[in-house]
Amino acid sequence: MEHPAGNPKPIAEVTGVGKGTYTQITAIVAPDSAQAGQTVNVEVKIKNIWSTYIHIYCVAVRDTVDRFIDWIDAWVAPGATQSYYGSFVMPNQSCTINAYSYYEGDDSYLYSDDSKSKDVALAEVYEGTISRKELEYDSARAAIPASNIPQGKRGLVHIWGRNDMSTTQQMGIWWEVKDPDGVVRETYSAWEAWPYTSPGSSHEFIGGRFNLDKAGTWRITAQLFMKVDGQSPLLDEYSGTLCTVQTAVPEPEFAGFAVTDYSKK
Amino acid sequence: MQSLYERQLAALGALGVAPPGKLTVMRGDIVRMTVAFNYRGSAINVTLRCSIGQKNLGVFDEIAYATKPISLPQSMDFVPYEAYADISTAAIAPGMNYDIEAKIEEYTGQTLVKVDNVIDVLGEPEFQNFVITDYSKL
Repeated sequence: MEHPAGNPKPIAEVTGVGKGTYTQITAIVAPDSAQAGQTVNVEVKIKNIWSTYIHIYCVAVRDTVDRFIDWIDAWVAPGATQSYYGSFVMPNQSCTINAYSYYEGDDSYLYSDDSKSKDVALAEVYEGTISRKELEYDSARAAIPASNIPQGKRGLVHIWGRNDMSTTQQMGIWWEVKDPDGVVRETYSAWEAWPYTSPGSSHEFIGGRFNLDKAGTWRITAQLFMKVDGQSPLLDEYSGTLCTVQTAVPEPEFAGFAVTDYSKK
Repeated sequence: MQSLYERQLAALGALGVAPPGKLTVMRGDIVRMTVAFNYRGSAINVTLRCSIGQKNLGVFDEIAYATKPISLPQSMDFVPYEAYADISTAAIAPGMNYDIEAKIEEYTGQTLVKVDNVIDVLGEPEFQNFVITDYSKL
């Protein structure tokens, strides 16, 4: 491969803005934000902008401290784009991805050619908890999962969602109740109305009534949400037994009561 | 149709009598009253009460009674049962045509039954038609 300037030169001397002489980093594919501890997957796309095959190397570093794409190389056809992949664990602060392309010169040395950066913001962790679950049946209440509920009662689900963040938030809920045959008997969803839930407090969601008319195990899936910045992240979930319903026992009833015999003992 | 022998045994109280048959007892005897019924529902403990008495102005006037606790298991369908209670007649004055009554105390509305004029109670030794029928040389 012939270098246009005869010998390799520092990239700043030979390239225009946004691309190198032989290569161009066309994209750094990574999320704009991530939560601390989350694995951030990164794809660096490098295009061969020269007229012949080039042996292109890629290095990508997070904040100059974590080289997560470490001299990965590929021979790239003229005009083709090669992807280089890597990942890192999001630190507890925003960070910057710096990607570099290198080409192998005729002298077998590697020369820096292009670079590109992308910022990844630290995403806020939305925290909330399903703090309490109760089943109301007629005038009685029991914690979910409840057991031995008499058949024929009218069920009413109460679920409390706690705001575990440091600011007031609007809490939302969704749940679905299925009877022992797997038939959906109640679907409920709601966003709480203003004023919203203050830090550490809980909001009670109350569904609609349904008939506990089948003996066996009833199930519920409930999900707690929070409305922030136009998003509705899932905070907590419960999926399991709502209650067990006992077969209805008829009221005590006598029939055919009669004296059949009397004798001297 | 009872034979003469059976009627004699019944009169002596040795055989059970079915309503509306009559039972004759000596004062102080124990009368065993047996009831039959069907039950369904939750498991319950109830009390069988059997009585001997007389109607007074149309109202049953209980003179002697006995109770017996009964435990009935839970049942979704009617199940037949039989139970009895033993009543002492010591408190009953000798007389004829006493009535009997039986019920489950906790469910009187569903169980109260009466049978009239079925118990005779004999009292002091009693002779009847005592006459000289013959006299002769031995």
